[in-house]
Amino acid sequence: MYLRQLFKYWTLQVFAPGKLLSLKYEAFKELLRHDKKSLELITDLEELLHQKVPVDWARVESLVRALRWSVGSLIRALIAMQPAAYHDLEDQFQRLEMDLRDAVSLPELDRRPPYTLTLDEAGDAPDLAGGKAHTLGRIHRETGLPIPAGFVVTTSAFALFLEHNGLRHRLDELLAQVRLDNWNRLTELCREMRAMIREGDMPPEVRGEIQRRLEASRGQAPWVLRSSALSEDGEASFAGQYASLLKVSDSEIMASYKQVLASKYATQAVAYRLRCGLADQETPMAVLALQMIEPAVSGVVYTWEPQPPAGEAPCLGVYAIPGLGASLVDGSTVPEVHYLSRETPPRLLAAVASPNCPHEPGGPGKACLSPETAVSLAGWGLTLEELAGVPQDLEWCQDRQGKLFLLQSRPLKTGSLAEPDLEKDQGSPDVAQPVLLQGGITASPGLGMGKVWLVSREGELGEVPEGAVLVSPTLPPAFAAVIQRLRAVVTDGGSRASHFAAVAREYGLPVLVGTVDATRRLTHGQVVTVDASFGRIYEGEVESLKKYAGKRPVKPDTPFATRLQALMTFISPLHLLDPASPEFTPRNCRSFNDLVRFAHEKGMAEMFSLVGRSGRGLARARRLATELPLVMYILDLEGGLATQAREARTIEPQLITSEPMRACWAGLSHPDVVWRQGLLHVDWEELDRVSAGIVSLKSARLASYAIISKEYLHLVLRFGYHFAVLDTLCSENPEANYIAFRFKGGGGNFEQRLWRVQLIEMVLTWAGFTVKTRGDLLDARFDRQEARHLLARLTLLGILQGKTCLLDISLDGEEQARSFAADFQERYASYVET
Amino acid sequence: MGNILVLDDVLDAGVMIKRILERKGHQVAVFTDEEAALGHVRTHPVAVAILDIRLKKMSGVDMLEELKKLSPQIQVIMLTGYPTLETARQSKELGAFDYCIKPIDKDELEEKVASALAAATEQLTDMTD
Repeated sequence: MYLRQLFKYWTLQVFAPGKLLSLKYEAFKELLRHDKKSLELITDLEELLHQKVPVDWARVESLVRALRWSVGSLIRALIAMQPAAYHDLEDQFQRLEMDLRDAVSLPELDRRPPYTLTLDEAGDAPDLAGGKAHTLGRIHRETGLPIPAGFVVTTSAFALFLEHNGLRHRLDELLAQVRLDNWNRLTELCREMRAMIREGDMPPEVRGEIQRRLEASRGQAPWVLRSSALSEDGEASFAGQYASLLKVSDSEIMASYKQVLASKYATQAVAYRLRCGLADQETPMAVLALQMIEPAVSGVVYTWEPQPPAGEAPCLGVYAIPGLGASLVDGSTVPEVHYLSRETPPRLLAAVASPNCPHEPGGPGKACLSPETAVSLAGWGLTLEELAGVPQDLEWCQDRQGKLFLLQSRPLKTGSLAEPDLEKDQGSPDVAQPVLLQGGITASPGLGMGKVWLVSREGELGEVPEGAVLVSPTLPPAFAAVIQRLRAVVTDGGSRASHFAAVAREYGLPVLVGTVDATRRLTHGQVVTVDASFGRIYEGEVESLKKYAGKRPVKPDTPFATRLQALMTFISPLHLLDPASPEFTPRNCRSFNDLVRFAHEKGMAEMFSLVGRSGRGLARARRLATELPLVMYILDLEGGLATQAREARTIEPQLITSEPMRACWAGLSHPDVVWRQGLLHVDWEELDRVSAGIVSLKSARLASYAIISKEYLHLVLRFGYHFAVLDTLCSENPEANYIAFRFKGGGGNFEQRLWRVQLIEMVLTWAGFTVKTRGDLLDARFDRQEARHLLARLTLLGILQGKTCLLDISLDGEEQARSFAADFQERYASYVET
Repeated sequence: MGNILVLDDVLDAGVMIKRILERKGHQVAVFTDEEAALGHVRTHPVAVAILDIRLKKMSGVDMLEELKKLSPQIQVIMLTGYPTLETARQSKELGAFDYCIKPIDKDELEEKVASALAAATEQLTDMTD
């Protein structure tokens, strides 16, 4: 490939310089296209570091693949311009590309057997069994507590399932589109992902192993299938985000297995995972199949109850409801609660009956749980807390024969520990505002202010606005999907033991449950202050409590952020600043940004110095003769200069016949633009001496370049760290016409640069451009109009560049930027009216 | 305005392209299955096809070859999230109009389709001349 290109190049240079120039020019256009694209992709990636809306790692992977391609194409275009010179650049690119590939890829999932495990085996295999099954397996082995019989389908079975159905890249394509700020789109994407999983075929190896487990455990059906994802129940609880399926028969087990896998892509589960900054591949899903117990009573145990009955030390809380536990954890039922001391054996301190529970099993008015049973469960809690070393959150049930079973145990998220100051300072808040509601139970402590949003059904969640105080009859896990928009949650029913409460404590969102009638007492749209720690809701925003509002536990960087920061060291930092320096070499390119910078600089140099000086009947690049302290070199491709200019050493502006160049120059040399003196001129000899016609960016010199034809202009305007590129075609065919303008950087601190970009954005938007800005990068386009409209705007752009950028004005605020833009618009309105 | 076919093994990817191009007044048919897409080309006039390279059964490059056999004047835009020099070269050799990379933004897509349609029209005119 390389030799062929070299051969082609030499042949052409010897025999057909005209043809060579046009090939070089084609390659140069290609280079400019990939330069633009590469910078856009780098900016997209940088933006992911700073934006608050979480995205999936698949988005990063997809942008990085596009960037690798784009920079590769950029370098190939440069090599096409000058085949002999840049193979060391290609080598360096390949080295950096390998580093980047390593930094972006996640370890591939293990697809090797075993595809199923016994519970005891699961206790030894955290990676294969996932969080929930591994914990249960360990408990079973080490404590002998009663756990229903069952087995585990491993994470490697899940990996094989994806592989078998070719799903990885299809899921990634959808995941790359996910944004948490667009709920409807998220729902759409998740629906397709779940369908992909449900429609997948079971790999024969996995099907075979599950069949063998079923045969070995005849008569144990029906089953309960529960998710057991890696990372689940660890740092991130994923409480209630995935599916559990009840009463699954042997014949339904394959379909149900896929249904549990599909719940990995439930809208709320994906939203939760993204907020934790975990990648899809980091949370592969194992599935736990346990023999179904028909429970008479179900519930949870908290081994560290932060709201003990009055006068008691921290204690254990045992929560119970009749029947299945689902209505407890989904927040729809208020349970009966037993408080027990943390002694061995635990002592019953108090019991609180449930308003909607006391029918079974003891009959009307009787409690669900006997005191003896509550003591046994509390004993389990202490045992498990000791085993794990941290307070636990247990799920249990009791069958109709009175036998107890442990279903799950995970670290308890307390939340209150994160905000000790709040509770101390606030002992007796002295608040003037009326108290709208007093009471309820703290499900997650803290203080939030906002507008009441009354929820009657889950479907409305997509519409919940930023800053809402959600008021609802119950506390479903689906609230987790909009958690970042909420300031507080208040419910009539619900309990501390619900899944959403666990998620809220993790996130630091105040939640007050069991208020009985908040949905009737608070009105939609009303502004309130919710003090979930002390069970009070005030009208309006309470000034004296503002300092406590919105306090969130400080979270360490997510795995996403850590990985992205490491990745960006290969992409973002720009080390090559000074093209005149001997350090400006391919070897010293240490990031993709360096590669792009180097290739663009050399591409320009190729276009100017090599072609320009070679003679051979081609137009040479020459300096524009001007009184302004501005050095600009012009390369004419065709028809951009008058005949008289052909032999001249410098070009008089009036000899320019390129329409877009004339228009732009009219702006830059407009009498209104006052040029700051003291800028150094650079002459052609000097330019020749320093590396291929490129001047130092660090010096205060100014060197701008224009490639022109009758209808075309590619202009690079440079001063210090400003960098503006203008690419335009002004022909007779309006459909083909465009102005593309890009501006990046500039002097001053980041804020000043943003104000400058904002100012340019205001003016250009007013002038009819479509403007996009990201950070201090601005892209503006003006398309498909008659040439006269474009030319007027090129003059306007010239004036604007002269006034704002080249003069390096220092802006001291947004207000000043706005008033500058307003003055500008008034003064130059005539340019836009054409 | 033109008849456009989109083939992508991810339905949503095709649907998003359809939404963008239909706003420009184009007729867009979306497929996730190779056979169904070929069936459509046999029975309907298609000026431009947009092909993903990773498909369910075939590769997009094979699909390009099939399409060109069925209808040599069809302009094909390859659109892939996994670009390689190999598939870029093969696509070019088999006469693809362009080789584009995902993620593609709306403006770029509209522009590529407009120029592919212009090329398709030009070729039809050449043939009738």
